[in-house]
Amino acid sequence: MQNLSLNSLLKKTDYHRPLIFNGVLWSLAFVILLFIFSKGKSPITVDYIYTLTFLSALAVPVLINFYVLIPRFLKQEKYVLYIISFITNLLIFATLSSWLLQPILDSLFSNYFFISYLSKSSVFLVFTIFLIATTLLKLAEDWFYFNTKENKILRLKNQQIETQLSALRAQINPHFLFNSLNVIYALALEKKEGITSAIVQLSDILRYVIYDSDTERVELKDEIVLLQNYIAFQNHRVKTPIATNLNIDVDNEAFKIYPMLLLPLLENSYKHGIIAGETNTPIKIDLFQQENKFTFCIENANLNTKNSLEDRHSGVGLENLRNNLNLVYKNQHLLKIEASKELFKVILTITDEH
Amino acid sequence: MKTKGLILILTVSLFSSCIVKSLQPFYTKASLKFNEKLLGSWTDNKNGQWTIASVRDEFIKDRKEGIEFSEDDKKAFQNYKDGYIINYVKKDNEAGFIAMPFKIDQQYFLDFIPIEIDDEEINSLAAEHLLKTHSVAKLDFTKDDAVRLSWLSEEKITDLINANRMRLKHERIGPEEILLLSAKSEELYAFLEKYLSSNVEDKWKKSDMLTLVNTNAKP
Repeated sequence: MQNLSLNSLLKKTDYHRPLIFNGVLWSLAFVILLFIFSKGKSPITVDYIYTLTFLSALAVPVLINFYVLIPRFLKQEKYVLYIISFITNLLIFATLSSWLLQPILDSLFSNYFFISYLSKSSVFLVFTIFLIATTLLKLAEDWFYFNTKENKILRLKNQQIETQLSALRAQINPHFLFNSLNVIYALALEKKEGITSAIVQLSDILRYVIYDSDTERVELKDEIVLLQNYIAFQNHRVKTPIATNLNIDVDNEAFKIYPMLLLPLLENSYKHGIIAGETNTPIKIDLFQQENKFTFCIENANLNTKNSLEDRHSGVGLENLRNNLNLVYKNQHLLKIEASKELFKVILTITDEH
Repeated sequence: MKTKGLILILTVSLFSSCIVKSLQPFYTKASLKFNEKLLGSWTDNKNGQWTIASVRDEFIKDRKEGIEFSEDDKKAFQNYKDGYIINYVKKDNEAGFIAMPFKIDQQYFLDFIPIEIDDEEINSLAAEHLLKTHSVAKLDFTKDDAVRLSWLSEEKITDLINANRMRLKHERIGPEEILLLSAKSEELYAFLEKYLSSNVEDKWKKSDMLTLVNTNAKP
């Protein structure tokens, strides 16, 4: 769908400028031929007349080549047909010009003497050189516009990706807020003491989610702080003494990572791996980073509640994660989900050359 | 260099104006057309004596006389066998020419190139600087069995060049900037063809004409 819409958009935009191309080409050809025909001396009236008439004769096979032979044969990869038609085109018009050019000039301009110009054999030579040269120029022009078009497609694709990412981020925020408000609501119902610190932690989390994460990359340490804040916030809700086991092995805390990748996984573990007051299996998180490789492994008890991948309401989190990974770390990530009767485990590996 | 010291070469010209000179012949091989009517002795209207013989006949005659020909002579014969050898005498000054007859449409022309010049009075160093060039004359056989030669006039060609109406390869040489055509024979032939059918006013100047009257039988 994306490519189709791009193609239809590009089809509407014709990058070729035949008037400019032909204008430049024929002006240049006129100057070059005039220089040749005037033998390097100052051009005189008779030179201008001969050059213009010769160019007119030359224009017919060149334009046939440009707008009939190249599109119909060369661009369709019918190379043999193209070569045959190219030679036929050349032979017909070079022969006609070598026989008719001089009589036409003499009859139209009877008082002018067009003598020291091209012999019949030279007409063939000039036609051949000119047709080959203009074919190469036309191909160069086509390549130029093809390249422009390709770049335009790339720019549009990037723009689309950016738009998509913004849309996905916008989805995360209300989703997270909705879950967090549920937690505060639960704390308020139970009139817990930690409700005020929970609000402060939520405030920190939201600040990060809404403002700080709105960049292309964040440092790994900021994401770790976010996870720690979230764990502390969630611990107000769950009664398990040690709900989370966070193991961090990071070489470079300034390692850049796309923001908000890990939070949906942690959210998912709390949602489906912990039941307040009942679960004894803590959520186990291993965070490993070395050189350009980053691994995030999270494991929680499988409480047979539907996991977010299939959950209609809260599935937005993992689905967003998948989309983000495909957009940002295309061919640079591995998202592995292992589910057994007891455990649910997700391993995310990112190899980033940035 | 003192300009006063510049040597002006004064020549006693046959015509009041100059005839066109060319490095290359005015004819193409295919256009050569021999005409026997020109053979014989002639006197022109300026008291010049003309003896016109066939190159082919002269070659055969010399061979019969047992003259050995070198390879260069044979090559020259192949080139000029359809032409005339002309001996021209004026006021005891003698000169030899090879004249090649050729036709454009129905019109005869003669291409002249000197082969022998009576140069006893010319300084030998100066003679080394002289170059034999071609000239061309329109050849008409008149009703009274006379022949009229109308040379191509430099003045007419210069007019065409100065009016920017002609591109014909040429050079201007010497202090007098004499016109010397340097175009190929095919181009010169094409020029004559066009000139013949053009409406250039007074294109064959009377001042550059000679009328030859037949004086005796063939030599």
